Amino acid sequence: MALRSSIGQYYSADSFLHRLDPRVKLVGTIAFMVSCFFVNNAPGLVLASLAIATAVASSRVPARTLLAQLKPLILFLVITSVINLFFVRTGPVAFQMGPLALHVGGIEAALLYTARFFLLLAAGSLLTLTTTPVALTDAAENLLSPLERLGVPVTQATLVLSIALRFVPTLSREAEHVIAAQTARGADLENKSAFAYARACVPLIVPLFASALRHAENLGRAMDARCYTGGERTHYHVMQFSARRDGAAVAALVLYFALLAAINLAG
Amino acid sequence: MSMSSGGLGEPAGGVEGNGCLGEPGDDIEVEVHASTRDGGRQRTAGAPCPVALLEDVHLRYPGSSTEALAGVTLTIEPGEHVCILGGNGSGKSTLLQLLNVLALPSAGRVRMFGIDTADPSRTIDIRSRTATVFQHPEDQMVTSIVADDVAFGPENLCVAQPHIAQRVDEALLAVDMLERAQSDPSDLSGGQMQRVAIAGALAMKPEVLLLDEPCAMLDAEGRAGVRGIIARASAAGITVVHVTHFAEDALAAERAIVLDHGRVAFDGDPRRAVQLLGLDRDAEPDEGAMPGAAATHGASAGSGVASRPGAPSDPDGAALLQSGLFCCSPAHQHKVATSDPNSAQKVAVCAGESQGSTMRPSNGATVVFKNVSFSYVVAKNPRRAEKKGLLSGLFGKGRLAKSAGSASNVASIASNNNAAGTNTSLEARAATSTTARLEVRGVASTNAPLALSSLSFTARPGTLTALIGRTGSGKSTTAELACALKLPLEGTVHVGGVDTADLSRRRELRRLVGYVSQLPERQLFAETVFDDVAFGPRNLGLPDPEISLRVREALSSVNLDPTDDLLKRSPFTLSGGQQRSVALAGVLAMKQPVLVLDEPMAGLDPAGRAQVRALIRSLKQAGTTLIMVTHSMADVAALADQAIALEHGRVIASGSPDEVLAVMRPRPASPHATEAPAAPAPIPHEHQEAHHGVAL
Repeated sequence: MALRSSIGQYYSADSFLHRLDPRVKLVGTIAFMVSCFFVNNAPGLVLASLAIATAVASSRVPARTLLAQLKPLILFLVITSVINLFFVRTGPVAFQMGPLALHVGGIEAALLYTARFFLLLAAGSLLTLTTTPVALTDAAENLLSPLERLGVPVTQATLVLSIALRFVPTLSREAEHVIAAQTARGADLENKSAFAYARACVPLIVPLFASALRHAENLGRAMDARCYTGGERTHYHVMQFSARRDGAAVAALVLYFALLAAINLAG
Repeated sequence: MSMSSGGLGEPAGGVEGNGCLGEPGDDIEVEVHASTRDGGRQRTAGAPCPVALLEDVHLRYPGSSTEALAGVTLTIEPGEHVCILGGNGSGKSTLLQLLNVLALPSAGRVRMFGIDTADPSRTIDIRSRTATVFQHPEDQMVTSIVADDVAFGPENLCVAQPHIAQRVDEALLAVDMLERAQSDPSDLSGGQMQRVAIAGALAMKPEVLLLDEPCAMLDAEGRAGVRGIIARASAAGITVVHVTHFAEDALAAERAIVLDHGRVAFDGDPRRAVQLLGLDRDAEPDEGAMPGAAATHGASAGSGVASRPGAPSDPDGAALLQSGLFCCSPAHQHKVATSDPNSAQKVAVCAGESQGSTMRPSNGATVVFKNVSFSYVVAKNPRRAEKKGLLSGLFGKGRLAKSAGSASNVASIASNNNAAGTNTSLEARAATSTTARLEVRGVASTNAPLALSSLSFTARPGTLTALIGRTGSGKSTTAELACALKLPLEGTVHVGGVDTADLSRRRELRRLVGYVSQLPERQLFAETVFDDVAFGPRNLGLPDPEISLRVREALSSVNLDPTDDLLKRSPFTLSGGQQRSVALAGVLAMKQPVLVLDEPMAGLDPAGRAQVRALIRSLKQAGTTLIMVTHSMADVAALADQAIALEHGRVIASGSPDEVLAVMRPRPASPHATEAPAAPAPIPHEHQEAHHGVAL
């Protein structure tokens, strides 16, 4: 259940961001994520936060849904901020307790890096919340299609990715069933040495593996029956670069990058 | 039922000549429209050739000693609605796969639309005209958005984009799933998913719809929905070939083909085929109301027996074709009929032995649910809950009133529970944990949606309690609560006097209650049958000779001969039915006095169902307390001593099976109840779909 909520959950709505060409969204998100690493000061942070806030507002995704997506990553954010807090030793000492010293630079870094990471992750979540996995894989396929000429199986790879996302909830549910059934037969995973633990996992892992193989076989048959050949096919979702909508998004992004560059140059 | 505007038969422009599939693609569209408009009876393009033509087809899977198909010759004409019946392993699915070029004959010839399936260059031509729906809905979903999944087939057929969108909408409308177009298939019920799978098939605008037991994994409601769609597809002129175990499906067809050991054993009137096979009617509540249903069934079983003297006259209409999946040989089948009392005694002794010191051997263990509620939102880890519970119990000393109340609850449970040797320390412990849970309730259950709300019942030794209700009604949750795989949010579950929330007595509890999960054969893991069945007994810490004895006994009780050959085989090399038997044996070998079964019949053919029923009866006679989740009203009527019907986690009816089935009958779907039972047409819930404004 934890896996389900954290990976590629789509939030169905009709918004500016939902309607954007997935290629624009994909490239734009990656560009924004990269730009986060160039946010070095308070004005930059404010600008990047404004950019994300604007995007969230134009997505009609409730802030609560977005934050719920980020919940599993909070621990990671906390750890990075603590590390920054204690290991960055620039600037005057702000707080001293025995051998522990907090430097102003450390506090700044902790705040900045944590906020930066948060924005980066929020952008990624916003992408998966507003773009269906198929649209995302279609976009990746389209953008990477030049690689096809070099012999990279882009189409197949993107389909594999889409199927993998589709089977995450199925397999995690099955894992729960297997654990329940084997627990009822007395399987005990507690208080074991590493070797005994590995042995105790066999009754869980073998059925899960068997079930993954069974899914693969059934799915393969179903895809054959539905005429999948791995060859040429059309696409349900057409990717159309709309001059007005996508143009506006690109213009906004360019403006953001220009402002960020200006802030960094001025600073 | 007619083709209305916007339906699937509407010319949709179809394939645009983009060269994706070449010329045949365009032909296909023309022919589809021609045949559907003419009701599928005539074809305008080409010579009037049959949809499928099989000439002396043999098929042997590599490494198998017997042929899956041993000389099948048959013809299927355009527009026919054919059902294929037969036991597991009779070759039904193989036959279906031949029609979609998913398998090729090892001898003989298969022609689809006049095209030889052995010609690899024409494979896609055939598949683009035949769509297949398989048994497991989740294994047919390619993407995590419903509409995108339906589009998968048309995309592969290189249908132009605007037409894909149109086809997706039409197909989803036809299966009444348009509102869920943007859902994740994982959030749908099995029945809904299967409807999406059918939409995916219909969106390919097939001439032939091949169905491989699409209802086997569904609840009654899901089956009814799927049946309605099949009937409409057939009425729209699509040729339907339906592999099934259900009498309803067979009766909806106009022709039945019965396979037995890879040969056509019967080809003709579905009503006659259902009689011959002694197929159980599904006995959904609304159908159960049909005045003649039971009588028809009785008559059919009778005539079936008459036609085969010497066959066991099991009241369930047991396997008349000897393709019984549970039995290795006819001798075994005989054994079921004769050796019941024997094995019952054996099990009785085992049940007595395993009850340990807390119970008198003559009594089984009673399961008592008292005001049990459960929510997935605030679900607790069944292993950790006790510690948390104790903590909050310590902190909640001020709430003496509550704990006093719960102590009296426990007292009443104890007095109910004549079987358990409840001593004072047990009561004290139970009281502590009950207090703890009440505390948790105060904190956690503010507005959590309940998967189960205040369920109370008592299941006594030697009886079977059936839990019925549609998918998501809380049946399986109840089953898992009874086995301490989940812990109640409120209320208590006691098994043989042990509170399931009492972690310190968990080992004891595992000795008391056994659990047969859904599709238990999926939990097989060991290298040999022996090791798999021995897994449970070994976890109980039994000595080796005892384990060996139990494994053999358990396998015998599921009609598998415990020869050394079988014991050393890998469970994965067994047939599906035998795997189910081994999995059941793995639980039976633990000899627990309480057994919880989650849909033990799902996916079995009639012979397999009869075997499991016989097994359940003998367990009951031996004094086992049985709790069974089921979708089959026939099983409830045949086996249960009490039934509990759930809906949205609430009890809507409980009592004797007759009472509960009677309460469930007057559902909105009863106009059909007045129709003649043997009429091939009635499709339950058909009109329900109709008032949603769905047209195919």
